[in-house]
Amino acid sequence: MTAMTQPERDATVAYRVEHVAFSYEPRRESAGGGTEGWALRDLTCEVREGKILGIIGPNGSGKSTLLKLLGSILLPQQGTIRLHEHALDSFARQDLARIVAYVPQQSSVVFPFSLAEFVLMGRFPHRRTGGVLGGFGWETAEDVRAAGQALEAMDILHLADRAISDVSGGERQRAFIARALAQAPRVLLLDEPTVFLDLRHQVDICAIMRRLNREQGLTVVWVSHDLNLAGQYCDRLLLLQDGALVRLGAPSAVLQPEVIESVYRCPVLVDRHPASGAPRVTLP
Amino acid sequence: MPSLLTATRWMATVSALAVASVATILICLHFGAERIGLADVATILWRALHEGRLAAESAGSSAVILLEVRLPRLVLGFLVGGCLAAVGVTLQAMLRNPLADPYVLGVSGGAAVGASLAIVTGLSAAGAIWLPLSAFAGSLLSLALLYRIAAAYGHLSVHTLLLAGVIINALFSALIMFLTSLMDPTHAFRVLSWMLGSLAAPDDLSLSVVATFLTIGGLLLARQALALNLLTVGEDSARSLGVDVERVKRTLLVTTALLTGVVVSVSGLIGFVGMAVPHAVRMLCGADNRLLMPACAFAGGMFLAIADTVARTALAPAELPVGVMTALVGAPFFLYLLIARKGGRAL
Repeated sequence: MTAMTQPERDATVAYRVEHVAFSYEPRRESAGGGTEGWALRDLTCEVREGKILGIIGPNGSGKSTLLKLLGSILLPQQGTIRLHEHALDSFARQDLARIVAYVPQQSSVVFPFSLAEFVLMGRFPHRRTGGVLGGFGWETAEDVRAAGQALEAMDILHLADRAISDVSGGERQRAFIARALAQAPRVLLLDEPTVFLDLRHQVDICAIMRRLNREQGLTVVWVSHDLNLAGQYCDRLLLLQDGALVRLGAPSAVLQPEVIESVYRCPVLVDRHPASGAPRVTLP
Repeated sequence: MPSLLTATRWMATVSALAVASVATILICLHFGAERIGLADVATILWRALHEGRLAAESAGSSAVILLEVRLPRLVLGFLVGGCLAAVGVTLQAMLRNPLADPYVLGVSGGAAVGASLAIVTGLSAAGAIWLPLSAFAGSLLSLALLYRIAAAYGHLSVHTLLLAGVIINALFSALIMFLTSLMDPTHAFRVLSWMLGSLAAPDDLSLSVVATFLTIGGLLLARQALALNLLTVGEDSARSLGVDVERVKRTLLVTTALLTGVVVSVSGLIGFVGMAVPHAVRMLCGADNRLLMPACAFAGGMFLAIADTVARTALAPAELPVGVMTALVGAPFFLYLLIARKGGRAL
């Protein structure tokens, strides 16, 4: 299979990923010289500004790894990643955190921070630090306002006083997204944000994502296991298999039965969503 | 939005705790083999403050006992307790484990090995700085070991971490036993009783050394309080929020090792303060390390000052090692937490 790239140079680019390879244990695995068996291999793609990109693929195909590379949480051993045409590693951490927010996959929080305190952590990159007690910067009115808005957007403002160690998995997941929103980012990286949520909250998250995308031009990169949700809400999909790019393009181009069947090694039916017309994948 | 930590709330809580700490020390001064009334305590302290220690001590034997024996011991107890609690809070946040404690995890044990080694080799006789320094080396070693184990597992479960602590502790006790068997009997006895935790008879020099280290260490920890908040949620997450995780971790590891080393070199092994105190304080003050850390330092100080007062008066004229006292209170509490956790309650 060949990587499908549509050269649309007019769209502005948030991320430019060029020949990126990453391994969690590079020394052991590259003994043979190549990047065989690496988490990501020779990946080239771009993430367009102001669009929603869905990363899909089977378990262990490198979805989360790619997201962490985009968030500069991991650094690639080969290749370059550029954000707004600047090398990602040239950003200071705190500067990057004002542009890119990352929502990790199903985290637990051991300590009883209140949801309000937790979401306020998202204001850390906007804080002035320094001085002998630099660790003690107090929240400004702007911080509190941004956190309040984020809590409200995720429909958890009424839980602001509850301890994050006590709320349900879905509420915790929404708190994590609220924290990312409080960061006031230009790019939002989400690792399976809907995985713990019931139907209503899945739809809510997707709707909020799309609204922020439409209203503020927020760029969203979203790792998803749910092909249908991804197909319905993403502008483009990126399909990974064994750390390599299989396809990148509009949902209708990527969610082709023969592509999905060969990548997931499982027979599928693909028809159209009755209302939106988006491709819909079902098991036969 | 409700109940956020503000500068006002911080000041109010910390000042209240400071007042409570002074009151605790005053009351503890009053207890002991020789009865000294609270009014007398106040008078003697007042004279010592105004006319100097020597003038105050000329007033009688109770003044000498108060100023030469009880006060230094209580101050040391307060500093050591505060320090252990602050180290406990930091370790819990860094390891994302509410049961972490420098004693349980073998960090204190590492410091004890370092200190014993300094005694056996005669290094400790070469200068006052060598004992705390080699204790620091020992605690740094065991912390590094612990952190390596934690890193190898990614996120370490409570039980795996405790197990690692048990093994590290077993290794270090064996090493200490080995070292004491190399010493002559009088030395060995001194080391063994020190290992049980003792605050007896500190001299002015060791008091000021401890106070200096604690101030520096405390400030270093306090500077990282916000970053530590983010770190409790996870390293990836903290990194994505702009925290220089590696640098913060390094600072915190070295600082906690330093504090543990200094504390162990002056007071031996005192367990469970670093686990029990932060747990109780967290229920009252919340999880924000900006408030939690200073609150724990005060509360830990008060806790150990009281524990030591009980230890030296309960069986008077005999004295219990204070480490025995804290373990008698702390170990059942620890077990309770372990069981309560199994019931699904978040710690």
